[in-house]
Parts: sequence; C-alpha cells; structure tokens
Amino acid sequence: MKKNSEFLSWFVGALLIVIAVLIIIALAVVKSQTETTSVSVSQQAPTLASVKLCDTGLATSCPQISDYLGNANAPKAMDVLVKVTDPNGYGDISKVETTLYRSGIGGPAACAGSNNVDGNYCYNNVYNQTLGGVDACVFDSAEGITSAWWRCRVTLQSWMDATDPLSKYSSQTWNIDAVIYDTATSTSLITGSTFENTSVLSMNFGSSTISYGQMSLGATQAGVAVLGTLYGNSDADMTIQSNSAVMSCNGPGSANIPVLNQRFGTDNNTYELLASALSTSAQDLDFENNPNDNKLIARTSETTNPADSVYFGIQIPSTGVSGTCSVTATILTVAQ
Amino acid sequence: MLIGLFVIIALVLTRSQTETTSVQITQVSPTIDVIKLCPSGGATSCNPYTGLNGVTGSANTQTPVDVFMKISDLNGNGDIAEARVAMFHHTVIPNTKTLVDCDTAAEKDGNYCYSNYDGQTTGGISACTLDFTEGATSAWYKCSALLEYWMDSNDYPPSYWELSGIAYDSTALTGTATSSFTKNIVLSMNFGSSTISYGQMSLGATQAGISVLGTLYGNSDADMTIQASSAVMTCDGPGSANIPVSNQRFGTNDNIYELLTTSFSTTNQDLNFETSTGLGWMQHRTNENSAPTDSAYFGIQIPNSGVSGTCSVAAIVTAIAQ
Repeated sequence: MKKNSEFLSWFVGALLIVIAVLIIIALAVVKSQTETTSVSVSQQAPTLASVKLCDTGLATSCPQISDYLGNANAPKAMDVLVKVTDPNGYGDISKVETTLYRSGIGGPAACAGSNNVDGNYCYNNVYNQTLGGVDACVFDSAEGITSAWWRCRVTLQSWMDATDPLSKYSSQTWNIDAVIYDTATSTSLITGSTFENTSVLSMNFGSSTISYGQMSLGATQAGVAVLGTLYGNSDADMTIQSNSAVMSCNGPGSANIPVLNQRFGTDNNTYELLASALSTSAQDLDFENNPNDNKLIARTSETTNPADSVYFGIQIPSTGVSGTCSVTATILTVAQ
Repeated sequence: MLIGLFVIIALVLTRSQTETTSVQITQVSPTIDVIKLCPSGGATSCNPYTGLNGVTGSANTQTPVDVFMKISDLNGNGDIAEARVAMFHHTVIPNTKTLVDCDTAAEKDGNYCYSNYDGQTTGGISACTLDFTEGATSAWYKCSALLEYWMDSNDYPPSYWELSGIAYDSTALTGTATSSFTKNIVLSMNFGSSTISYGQMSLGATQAGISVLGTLYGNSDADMTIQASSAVMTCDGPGSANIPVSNQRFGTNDNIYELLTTSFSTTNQDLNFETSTGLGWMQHRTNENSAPTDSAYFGIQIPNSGVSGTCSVAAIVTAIAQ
C-alpha cells in the first residue's frame, strides 16, 4: 500500500515536471512569433440632414426663415446653415457647398458654378465658385459624433426676385441646395429647403423740391427733370397728388396759381405738350423703362437700378400773382 | 396668411415722399392808367377838371378836390403798395416850374404846389388811400386836397396844371403818369364899404381921408372901377340944389381933398388899388397868410351955397381883371 502511494507521488511529480517543461516550451514558442489582425471600414456617403436660412450670427438653433424680406436698396447678409451627417463621423466631412436659386430657372444645376451668378435668381459657391454671392462654407459645430453644422454666408441683393403670392414668380420658390464632400466622395446637388422672397416696393423720387426759379408773368417753363429710381424687387410707378388746389403766393394781396398750371409728362416737351396737369387727385407719373410701359420693371441689371425721368413745367398766369408761389405734393410709390 | 403678411409689409415699405414745387414771380412795375382831378366826394367815374371844365372853386375859401388814380399791377392789385401825387403849376413864364419844384419834400404852396409825392404830410395833399379794387389787377386810389382860392390859373400859356402821380409796388418798383387840368381865373375883389358917409359938413367945407379897403380875392390880378350912377348927389333939403358928383374926389394916397387925384364921374374910373406904388392894380395873391389889400381915399367939397339936407348918390364899383 505504501509502494503504490509512493509510485503515485512519483508519477504525479513527473507529470508536473513534464507539464512545466511543456509550458516553458510553449512560452518560448509564443514569444518568438508575430501575428497581424486588420479590418477595412466601408466609407458611407454623407447625407444632408437639414438646411435653413437664418439671420447672420445666430446659433444653429435659429428659426428657419420661410419668408425672407430683403433690404430696399442694399445687400443683406444671411446665413445658410447646413446640417450634414456622415456615419463615418463628422470629421469625415471635408466641404459643404450651397446654392440658392429661384425654382423656375431649371433646377440646381442651372445655378451652380462660375457661370451662373445672378442677383435676381442665383447665388452659389458650388464648385469652388467664389464670386457667386456665397462665401465658402465653414464648419460651425458638431452635433454628436456623426453630424455637424456648417455655415455659409450669403449676400442677397435688393433686387432678388420675389416669389410671394403677389409677385410675378408666385408659383415658384427659392430653393437652397447643397453639395457635401467627405474625404472620399461627394454628393450631388441635394435640395434642402425652400423659402419665399417677399416683394419689396421701393422707389425714390429724385427731388424733394422743384424750384422753377424766377419767372415773369405769363411765362412758361418746361424741361425740369426729376429722376425716379426703382429699388426693391417690384415693378412700380409713382403717383403725384397735390396737397392743395393752388400754389399759394406770398406776394401782398396776390392771387394764387392753380396747381393745374403745373404740367408733367414722360417726355421732355414744351409746356404745352406735357401730358398731364397736376391736380389734387393722384395721377401716375409714368416712370417707365420703355415707352408706353407706364411703369418701371423690377431691376434685372447687375450694375444699375432702373431709372426714368419725368418732366415738369409751369405756366405763370399773365396777371394777378406775385411773390413766391409754392405747393406741396405727395408722391406715392405704387406696385404695378 | 402669406397675402396678409405681404400686404402689411408692402404698406410699410410703400414710400411716401413729399415734394414741394415753388416758383418766384418776377415783379412787374405798376402802371397808372388814369390820373384825374375831380370835385370832392365824387366817384371814380367823376368828370375830371380838364379843358373847359376847369376848377373854378370859391373866390375866397378853399375848394376840396379829389385826385383819383387808377393803378394797375399785373402782379395783382394787392401788390400795389402806395400811390402819391404832386399837383403843380407847370410854367415857363414868368418862372419855370416843373415837378422838381413840387416833389421832394416840397411844402405846400397855395399858388403852385400841392404834393405828397415824397411822402410828405404837409404838402397839401393827404395820403392817398385805396378807394376800391377793380378786377384782379387794378385799384383806384384817392388823394384829397384843399385848393386855395389863390392858386394860379392857367394864365401864362403854355402853363398848365399838372397831376404827376407815382405808384409803388411791394418791391418799390414804380410807375408814373401825368395829366393836366385847368384852373380857371377867378376875379374877385371886395370893396370894403357899401356906404361912405361924410357926416355933417358945412357949406364950402372940404373933407378927405375917408379910406376904403379893397381886398383881392380869387386868383386874378385886379383893380376896381367906380362910376357914379348919377352926375349929381341929390340933396333932399327943401328947394336945395344938388351937388355935382365931381365934388367927390378919390386917390390912392391919403391926401387932402385938393390933392386927391381923381374926380368922381359917371364914367368908369380906376380906383387904382395897387399892391405896390405906381403899379395901378393889385397883383394876385402870392402870400400864404394874407390876401392883398389896398386903400383908396375919398373926399368931398360942399358947395358954398344953395344946398341943404342930405345929399347922396349911388355908385357902381366893379372889379376889373388886369
């Protein structure tokens, strides 16, 4: 019994020794080998999560402007905020480009790139366009690990086409599209959102005072030009309405001059040929781009505002008046 | 909602401008269309003192008259600021007198100048006032004057009385016009007594030194004549003879009876009232304060006998233009 027990002890001991040797050998083998593991992650295209037009400088939570109102006679800067998502992480987004265009011009491609810039209907920085009225979009902030907001500063012109219900493009909208680039790919132009551009009615009557100067009794004068300049984005004309039926004369005991002694017309004619007599009712001044248009058509030139002259004249009564005679009239801009 | 928003915005943006048109009317000088002298109190349609319808006036009081001027100003009658007038005797003989003698600050002279032409207030013509307007561009102005009875008549051809008017507008532009009128000759003298009473006298006595003052009115040189209505002074004593009117004498100097130059008679004889010794008549008044006067002296001699009672005779004294 004792011998069996000793044998078992020797056997176990030998076994342990063998195992130990094996472990030592295994350890020696492991230390002497190299092994590489790798994985290739698929690139996913970025997507456009949202686009909105906001006033400049606001946080990305800014309310989206659905009815934009521009300035009457000055450019107005706005921000286009673009939220993009890339499953590969927002850091994978490399560039965002955007275009704002009136929908009727034929799709986003019609307003992309360097040849498609127009204050009336197209603003863009697509394809690295730098003169399209949209500054290069810049990273604004991250949202989670896969999304980020990019901000694109756009400078909208005062003559930008209106699309509101009373405008000539009432069936259209302004679209904001974007192209998104990540490190590997880019999207096509994607329509992000729309907004309406509100009609802005604005005209300037070029003079607050028409002074005919010194005139003799019975004399006539014509050819006093006043320039009407159209601002905003509406077709417009102006009306003139005398605030009194007479020009009041301050000569002692002087009679007054009926305002209808003042005439005006669109052509630079002699007094007798001026088409309209001033009165206390509103009458069209007929500023016009082309003969017989009878209105100024909203600006389409990139460089100049539409303008036209009307010509005023007066006839002094042959008797009964003296001093300085004057009257005030009200000029109204009227949408056409 | 969109439409509403648009309308509101459009209204806000609709620009209302005011525009003042003005013109300065060139001043036109006023004109005097009518200037005339009329009797006081008449209307502007009055018949003026021209030609044969000259001013006669009173022999020895002032005569009120009105100068009417119709002024037009194409700038309107309200532009007429003032009207003035000079009324003067335009003469060459014996002295040249024109407007310059009766405009600037001239004082009134009853003989030849009445004026407010320079705005003076002591020139004999009151400030002209608006009488009424006529239409839009004309107005009548009236200026009143009191003509002195001694104002010169048109007796030195080619002399004439001239109305020279000037109208001002609010900017001091002026218009002038003239017209003429006639001042008639007015002959008027006063013989200072209707009765010469020599009083109680003795037969053969003489008396002298009875003075009678002759006063010249009107505007004419003048003298007076005296003519007895009878050759004798009729005496009412019972059976008395009469006294020949030639027993009365008269002269211009206060002499004794014998030196009185002229015997009374039934023919006209000059009394020789005179404004200067030897002139033989009275020159018309030129003094602003007093009328010309002179005395004639009468005397009488009573016959030595044959007369009694009160003796008297009537005579006719006549003023004669000279």
